[in-house]
Amino acid sequence: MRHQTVQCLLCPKQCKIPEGRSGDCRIRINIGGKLKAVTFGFPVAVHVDPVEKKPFFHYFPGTPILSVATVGCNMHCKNCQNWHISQANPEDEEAFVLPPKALVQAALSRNIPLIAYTYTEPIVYYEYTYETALLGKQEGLRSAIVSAGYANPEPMRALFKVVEAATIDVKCFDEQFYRDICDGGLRPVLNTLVIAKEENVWLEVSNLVIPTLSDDRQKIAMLVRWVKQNLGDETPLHFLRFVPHHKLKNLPPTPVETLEDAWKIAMDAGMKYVYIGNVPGHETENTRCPSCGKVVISRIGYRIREMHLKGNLCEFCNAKIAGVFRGV
Amino acid sequence: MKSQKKMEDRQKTSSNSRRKFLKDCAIGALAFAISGAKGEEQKRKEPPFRIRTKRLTEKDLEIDPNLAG
Repeated sequence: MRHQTVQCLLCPKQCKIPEGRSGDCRIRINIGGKLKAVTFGFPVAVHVDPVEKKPFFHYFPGTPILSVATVGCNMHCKNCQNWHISQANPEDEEAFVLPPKALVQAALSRNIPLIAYTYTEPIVYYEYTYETALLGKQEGLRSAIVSAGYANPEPMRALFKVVEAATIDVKCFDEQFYRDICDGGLRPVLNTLVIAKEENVWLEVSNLVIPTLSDDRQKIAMLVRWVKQNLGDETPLHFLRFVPHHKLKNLPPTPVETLEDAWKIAMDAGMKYVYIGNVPGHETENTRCPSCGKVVISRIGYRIREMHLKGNLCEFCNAKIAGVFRGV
Repeated sequence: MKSQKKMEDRQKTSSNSRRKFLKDCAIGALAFAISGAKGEEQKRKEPPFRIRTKRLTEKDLEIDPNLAG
């Protein structure tokens, strides 16, 4: 574009960025007429988490996952739990120096087989996610993203060629909610989910149920119906409990009964793996075999108590359990 | 005579408090101007800026329960 303005085509916002300025995500900056993701190799959060924390319940359960994030996000959710890094400028936060090779080495040297790009929005630090995932793949590591999925189709399709699993957070099945609460949109998120499915990415869907804002039973039913029709009934669906954060401190935590209603809506609709998250000790943290009904993965919080799987088969009735498991 | 003295005292007090009020206003305006100037300084830096870095330790790698995802 003229006058050294560049346009970022990564997400639907398609920011036109004048020289010296950043896009809406704060980290993609026009430097000398070239768009640069300045947080490349500079994560601000690096932790070894259980894979269940992402949440992934059907992807290598019980495995540690090296989880990283740089600052920045292309949405501005009023409920964001990680707002202190998602809404920060790159120059404001101290970061670790971990270029792709060093990050892959950090996982390999600790015998961690998985890397997650998570906490903020891996799409905005796209180049870092992509290059590290590609390098990790060459070294035998598997990569996963935890994302809101608000991106353009072309970059997402390319990313899903190197990333093996994704948890996509569908904020609410309502465009108005996306506009008012998140500064984003629903349609691109649904497109991302379909692309992930087409690219054979292991997919889990989460949905934070916020009292009075995204707890409408009809909208939950619409989300469930859409997931079943477009992604299949074996897609794990996580209804997460909201805890007051950031700009929504005025709202109460989600009542457990509301989450149980959502769980019931999904189970009644024929979804096979439905979970309630952020309520440690709740019975629905366990994975039950859809065929015999017995608990095949018993959890408490992020901890696995018991596993009754032979590869990807139920130990009790030999029915196939959907997911990516060790030894399969 | 006594009431005149009282009047003078009152006027004196009044002018003192007016002076004090004006002084407070001046201090307030000055503080406001200084904070405004600080605000300018805190405005986002333009690139190229330097990302501040720190060393990764094993402690950093521990699970952070306050971080979602």
